[in-house]
Amino acid sequence: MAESLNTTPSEQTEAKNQSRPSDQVGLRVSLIPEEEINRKDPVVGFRKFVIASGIGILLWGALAGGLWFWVSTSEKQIAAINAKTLSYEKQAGFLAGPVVSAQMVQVRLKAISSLLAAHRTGLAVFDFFEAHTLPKVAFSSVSIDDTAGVNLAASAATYEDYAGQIDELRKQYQIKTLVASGISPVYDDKGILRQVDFSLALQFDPMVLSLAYKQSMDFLRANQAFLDSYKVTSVPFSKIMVDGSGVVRLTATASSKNFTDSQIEEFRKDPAKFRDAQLDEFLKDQTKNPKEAVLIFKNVTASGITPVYGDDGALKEVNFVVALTIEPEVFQPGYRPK
Amino acid sequence: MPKIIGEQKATPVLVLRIGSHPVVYAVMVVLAVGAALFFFSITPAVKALQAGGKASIVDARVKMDEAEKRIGAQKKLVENAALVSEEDRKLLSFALPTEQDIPGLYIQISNILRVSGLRFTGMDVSEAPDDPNQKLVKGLNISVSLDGVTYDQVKLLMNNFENSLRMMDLHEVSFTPSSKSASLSLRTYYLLTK
Repeated sequence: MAESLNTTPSEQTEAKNQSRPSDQVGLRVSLIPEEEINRKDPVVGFRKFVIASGIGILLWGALAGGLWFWVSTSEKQIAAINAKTLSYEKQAGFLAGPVVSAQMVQVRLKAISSLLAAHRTGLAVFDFFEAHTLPKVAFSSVSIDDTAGVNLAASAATYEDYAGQIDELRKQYQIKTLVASGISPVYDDKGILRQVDFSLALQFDPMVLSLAYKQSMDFLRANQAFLDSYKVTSVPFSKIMVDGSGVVRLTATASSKNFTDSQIEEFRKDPAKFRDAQLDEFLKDQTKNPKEAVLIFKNVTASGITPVYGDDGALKEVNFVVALTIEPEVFQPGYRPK
Repeated sequence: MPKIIGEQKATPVLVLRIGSHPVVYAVMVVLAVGAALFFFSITPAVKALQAGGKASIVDARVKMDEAEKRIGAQKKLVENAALVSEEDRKLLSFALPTEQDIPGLYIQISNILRVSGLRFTGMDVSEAPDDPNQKLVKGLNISVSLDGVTYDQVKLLMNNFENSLRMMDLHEVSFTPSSKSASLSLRTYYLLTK
């Protein structure tokens, strides 16, 4: 419409004439009305239908072919996979007997290892009393119960011996509680004290009943000379602890005496530094042969600083605790340091 | 080129009808062929693939992987068990039998007492209460009463029990030197197989 407004009537007529080919040659042959000519040709439409249908059917065919290929390939793959699965199942069938036997071994080993971890032995308690009974004290009965509770009937030659025995037992870290009772003096015909009977109820740390504790004690006894060569004279191993994994921790309390003035000065300035210097000295002595020290001791740590002063106010001792781990391999039969 | 209308052939009715709406008919034909393919080709093919529990390749692979893992674990188990010699297996069976074997236990304890130079005045074996920490084994409580026993003999006896092949835990010990009597409570175990 906008175009017709901008052109002249003659230009519009010319444009109309150019749109018809017959008009271009100046002839008008067909007698069919213009509306008839403009109608769609059914043959052309049919051709379009054939082409469109053909393309559609070809696409479906391609899809069906692809599907057939996929199904066929999948079936082959599944067959191959199933064959492999079957071969595994056959192998499993052949292994059934050995597997049952192996499972039995495995279960048995697991059960034995669990029982060994909780294995209980009272021998270490007897060893303990052998080590900590004073010469003039005799035990007349002993009973050890399931919870490491120990009841004893004992006789001491004198009250001093009785007190000394109680004191000796109280000092031992393995004993958690100690109750003495039934103290009764026994006199002879002349009225002279012959002995003092008493009863003790002790509660030990249950670890003393463990196999690991007994092994560590056995190790210490068997290797005392060996351990002696690995300690600073003033640092005796005073405490043994066995953790759940059987690793033994020895705790040493160091008491350094006769410090030099410079050492005392050092302690006053920085106690922790002083302790570390002492520990270094301790370790230096341990690591004369580094190979052995690495093998034997691990996780060496120092803690706690307790100065002990004399009456004159001078520093006499510094106690600290050294905790270290002895690797379980040293408990193996026939172990010798490399 | 001028058209000669009078010479045109008669077009078939079907061509005329289809030709008048080619797109509609083409769509209908394509859909019809697609439906036919779906019902007669695609569906049966997929059903065939799913037949017999073979839901898919993925399922088959999962089953295969499971079987492979199972056989791998079994082979490893057998290999590991092969490290334990036949002789050691016998020792393990003796240390932890699969049954109570009370007669065997009496014989073993008698032998331990004999090598310790002792004889028992009484012995009792009873089933221990279930231990929640030990699911694989069941315990047997053993009480042994002794007389004419010295301190060293008690220690030797405890040591011999300690070293006995059948696993034994010492639970309670009572010793009175004046009367030379002692009693021991031990626990041994057997493997639960069910």
